[in-house]
Amino acid sequence: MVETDDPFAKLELELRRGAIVLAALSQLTRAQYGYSLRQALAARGMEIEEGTLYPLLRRLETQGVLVSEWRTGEGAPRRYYTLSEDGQHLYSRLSKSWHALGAVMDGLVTDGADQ
Amino acid sequence: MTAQELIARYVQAVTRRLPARRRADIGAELSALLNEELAGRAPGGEPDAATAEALLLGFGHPETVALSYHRPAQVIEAFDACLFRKLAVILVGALAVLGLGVALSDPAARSDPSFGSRIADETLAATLQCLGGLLVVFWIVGFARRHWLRGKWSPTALPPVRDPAAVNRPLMVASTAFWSAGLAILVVGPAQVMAGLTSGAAPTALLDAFAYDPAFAAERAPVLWGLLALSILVPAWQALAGRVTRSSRRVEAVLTLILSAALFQMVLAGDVFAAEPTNEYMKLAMALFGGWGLISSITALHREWRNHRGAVIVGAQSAPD
Repeated sequence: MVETDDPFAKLELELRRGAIVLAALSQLTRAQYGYSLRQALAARGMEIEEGTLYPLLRRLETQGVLVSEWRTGEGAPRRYYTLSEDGQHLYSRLSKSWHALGAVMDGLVTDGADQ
Repeated sequence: MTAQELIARYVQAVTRRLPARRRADIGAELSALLNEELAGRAPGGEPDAATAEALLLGFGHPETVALSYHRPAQVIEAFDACLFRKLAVILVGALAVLGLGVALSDPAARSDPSFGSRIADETLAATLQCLGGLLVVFWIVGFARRHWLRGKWSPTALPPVRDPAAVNRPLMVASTAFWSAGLAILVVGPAQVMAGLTSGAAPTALLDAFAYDPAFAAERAPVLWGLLALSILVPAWQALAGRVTRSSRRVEAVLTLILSAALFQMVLAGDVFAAEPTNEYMKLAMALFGGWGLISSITALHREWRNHRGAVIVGAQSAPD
């Protein structure tokens, strides 16, 4: 949650904000807890601040997109999240939208660079 | 302070801003996650307080994080905030003027040493009640809008774009007639009008309640009636012209400012009606009108000044060298 006055940083933040939900959903086809999810996303180049990701998981759960449960294994208790049935349909639809949008944006950005 | 204590404080600061039923669950998760993050920053070693502090600073202000977990229901919608602020300022200002007016003009003020503090307490209580009432009204309107009134809408049902200089002549004429009739009643005297309409059958108590204070009728009333008459002439002028001109806008703003100042002065100067509570209600109404007029006239004059300055700058820029 770093506030900045740099226009590039602000606009890039806006761009990433739209992608964060889909990025998180993509990793929740199998159960993950907040920290492991953040690590998994970071390992793939998607750094998300803790203060953004953890509340987002809760909001998605409230919306019925995710389900969660406390698991007490060998270490400390952890809350694991995974896609709900509705979340799986939603993820599938959002993925298609993302691909379509990506194709459109590629075309637009390439046109813009050629002009 | 240890890293664990810092985390415990942070979790408490976040969760105490959440609904009670979610506090324990979110607190446990947040605590577990922060500990994992902290361990990740000090692999193999015991994390120190400085590492924990850096982690928490990066996580965000507890209020911001709490807001990320839940959005509390709005009490006042963002686009109502300006109107609420304006009404609140008018109410507070009007009640303060009224309280001051009573403190200055009531004969009991000279004989009772505790009169001033009692009036101050009563004014404060009335102000808080009014602000509370205003808040409830705005909350109810916002709630109704969010839940029932924002359902179906159609672009064709939206009001047409209004020409700010256009005048609704029938409405202006009706408004001029209404205010003129009101002014005529005030000039003749409400008690005299009631006596005339009932052919003298109105109860004496009612007539007494609406009889002017002699000092007001003799000294201040003519000034007030004159200013009100001038204020009524402006919409009449606009109705005749068919458009709101810059001059009429400026005259209206200046007249409203003078009228507002006069209303405040009269509230402070003494009684309007001889009997209570008519006098108190009339003074409250005058203070409210004065507050409303003061804010609207200052806003209008500021707008005029800004437009004028903008026109001067544009003129200077477009003038040939």
